[in-house]
Amino acid sequence: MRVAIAEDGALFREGLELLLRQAGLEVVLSVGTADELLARLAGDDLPDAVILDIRMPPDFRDEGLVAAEDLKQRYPRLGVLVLSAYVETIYAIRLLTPGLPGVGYLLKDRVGNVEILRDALRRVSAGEQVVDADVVGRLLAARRRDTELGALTPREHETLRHLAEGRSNAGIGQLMNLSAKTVETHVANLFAKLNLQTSGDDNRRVLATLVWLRVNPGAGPTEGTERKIHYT
Amino acid sequence: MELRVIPRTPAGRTASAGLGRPAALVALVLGSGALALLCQWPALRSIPAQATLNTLVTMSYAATAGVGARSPGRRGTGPSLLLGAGLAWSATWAGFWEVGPIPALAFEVQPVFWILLLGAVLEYPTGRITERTERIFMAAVLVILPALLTANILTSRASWKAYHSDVWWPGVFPDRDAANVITVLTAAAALGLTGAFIVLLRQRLRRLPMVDRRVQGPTGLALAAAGICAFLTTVLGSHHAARCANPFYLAMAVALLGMPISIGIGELRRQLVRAAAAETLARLASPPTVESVQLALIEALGDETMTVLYRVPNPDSPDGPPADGTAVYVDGAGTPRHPPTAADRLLVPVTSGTGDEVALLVTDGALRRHEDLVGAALATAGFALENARLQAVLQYRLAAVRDSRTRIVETALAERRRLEQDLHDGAQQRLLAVAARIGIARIHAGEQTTAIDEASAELTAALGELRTLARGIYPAVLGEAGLAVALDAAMEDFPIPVAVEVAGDRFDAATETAAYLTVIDILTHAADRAGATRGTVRSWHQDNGLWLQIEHNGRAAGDGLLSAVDDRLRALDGALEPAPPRGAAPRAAPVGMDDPVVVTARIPCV
Repeated sequence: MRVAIAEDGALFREGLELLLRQAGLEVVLSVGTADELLARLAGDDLPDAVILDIRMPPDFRDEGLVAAEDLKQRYPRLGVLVLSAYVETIYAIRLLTPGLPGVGYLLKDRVGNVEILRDALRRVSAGEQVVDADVVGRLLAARRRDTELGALTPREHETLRHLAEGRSNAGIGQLMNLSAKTVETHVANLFAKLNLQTSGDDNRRVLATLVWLRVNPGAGPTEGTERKIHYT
Repeated sequence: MELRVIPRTPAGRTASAGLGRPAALVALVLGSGALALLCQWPALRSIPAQATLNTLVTMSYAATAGVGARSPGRRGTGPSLLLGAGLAWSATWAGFWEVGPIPALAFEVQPVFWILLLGAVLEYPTGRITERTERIFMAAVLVILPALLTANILTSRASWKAYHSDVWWPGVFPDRDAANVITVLTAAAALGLTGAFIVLLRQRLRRLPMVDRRVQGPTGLALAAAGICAFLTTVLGSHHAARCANPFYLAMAVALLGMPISIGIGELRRQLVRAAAAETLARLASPPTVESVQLALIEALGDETMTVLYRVPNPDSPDGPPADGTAVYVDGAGTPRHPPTAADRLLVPVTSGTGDEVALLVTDGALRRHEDLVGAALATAGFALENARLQAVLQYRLAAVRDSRTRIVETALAERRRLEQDLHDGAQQRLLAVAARIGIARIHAGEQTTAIDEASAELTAALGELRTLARGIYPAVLGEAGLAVALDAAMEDFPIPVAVEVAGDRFDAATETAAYLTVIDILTHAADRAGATRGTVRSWHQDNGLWLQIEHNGRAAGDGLLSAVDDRLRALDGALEPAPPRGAAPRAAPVGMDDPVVVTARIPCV
């Protein structure tokens, strides 16, 4: 697999490069800014995936997220994995909001286990979506007392977790040793219990699940009203 | 404490000096009276009333000149001119002697009288005729009156003026028609000059400060009346030598007498104003305020432009004390002000008994001539000024402390952002580099991963704690996406469900950080210590303020937390408020909260 990296922290970038090479991946490009990455990627010789930091020069704000949108518009088939230092659901939601396949949001901590990183890179390059397990886990933990979640069976609960992490029915089935058909049934059931609309589109259902998870339904007068996402 | 007043302009003589040495004054008045009587001795028998009035005019002018020459702040030749005018008035009546050239000379003294009198009035109170229009007027008088009267005498005979034909009379071109034309011209000149004088008087009264107006107004009116009488006598063809009493000349003498009388009244009123000023200041409310002292001084001095600047002892401005030791002055509100440098302002320092400068009185420059009044007012206002200074300086110091607190809190908020960035760029990056090395080690470890797994787990925990710490110091998402997003994100894994209704508007970094920390501090306490099980946060923009309303169903927070939150808000000119402002959108009670604890906060913003 061929990978390009844009990460401004030199220490971490070198470690990441070395890790990927040792794991047998080919690092074709490794730069310190999103702008440089955009400039040096050649349309006729794209890597399978790019890894982006969020806070990078020039303004150290959200350059990585902006570059991710830009890259997906230019090269829709390119896998884009944002490697972030923040457990912010809002960043993941922003990345998924356009509804494009092949994007992912992973915590930088995952470099401690290259298999997770390799799996995420493989999935984004194959057009799947990836949301870090900690981001999903944090939302699920905050909602543990929620009555709607309490109504799910353990299997459905586990299915929901994998679903929010961006896995396909086939992927979930593999992890849970279930047939894709069974997974499909679990998904349909849990969507019904959570009052979520199933569109059948894997790319949309990840976003819908995350938005549902992050809004506290029991939190007052907003109950029953439209759940808003503040992000511009 | 005793208060001394030291005027900065030429040292003022005391008011009592205005009365002068009584003996010299009496001698001057009696001498002038004797001269006047000598001039019109023959007239005293034929027209006794007129001659008596004339003598009184001379004596009163001499008295006024004598007093005026000694009055404080008085300069110039005015008193001498007035004395001269008084003597000249009686001299014009010397024609009754009907001996040799005396009638002709007496006739020629008439323009001299008017010139001296007008000069004395117009040079008041500065000692110089400064206005261009007044100089032109004076020049016209100097040219027109002598020319017309000389022409009159040259074209007439003594008998036409009812003098004996044997007096010496320089009528070298006697001509009835020419004399008539000149009489008409003289009348026109008298009328024109009187009119011009009235116009000048109006302008002049507008220019003068109130205290001078009170003197100059009646004086000028008396003079204008005399001018009108002069016009009427000319028009009606009367002249001095008529052997019977002329009502217009009587009226003129009465009008001329009006001038010293009005000056006397003016002086009396000035004394009364001083007394009233002292009374006004003495009546000041106790304790006097900055405003009441200012108003009382304005009333006492009759100067609405007057301001008081208070000297700040040991100033410590944000920029440090002035290096050159220059004084720092503040106005009544405690705002630093520079004393004006314009020449038309009078600066009167007020010092305390110990010699410290207390205040600087900034008044109309015209009050230089009334330093006795200013001095009297300040002497009475001394304690009130000391008291007002304490208040003004307190305001100044409060403002300095407030500014300093704002800077401290703003610095602290900025420091939070910097600290978060430092953690992200420093410690966190190093730990992540270590994580990458562990990842590499894991690749080469084969099946023996137990130690690596343990190290990895420890590292993940450390990274998690560091992330929580950094986020608690300052959430990066706040600076990047604003209050609404940051609060939404913070409430994702908050211990209790919290409904967030916050608009997506952006504010400056300090405002957003303070608002964010207010919400987090109140709700964290509510969830962790006050037994709350749910909460709401609402914000809106109203009356140039960002308003926050935080509700929860726990117990109310103690004063410690609330005052800490309040202090941070107050440093940004905000505060915890007892209630939302009038006009805030009404809102239904939050679900599941019958009687919620409500905390309302306001932060100013544009």
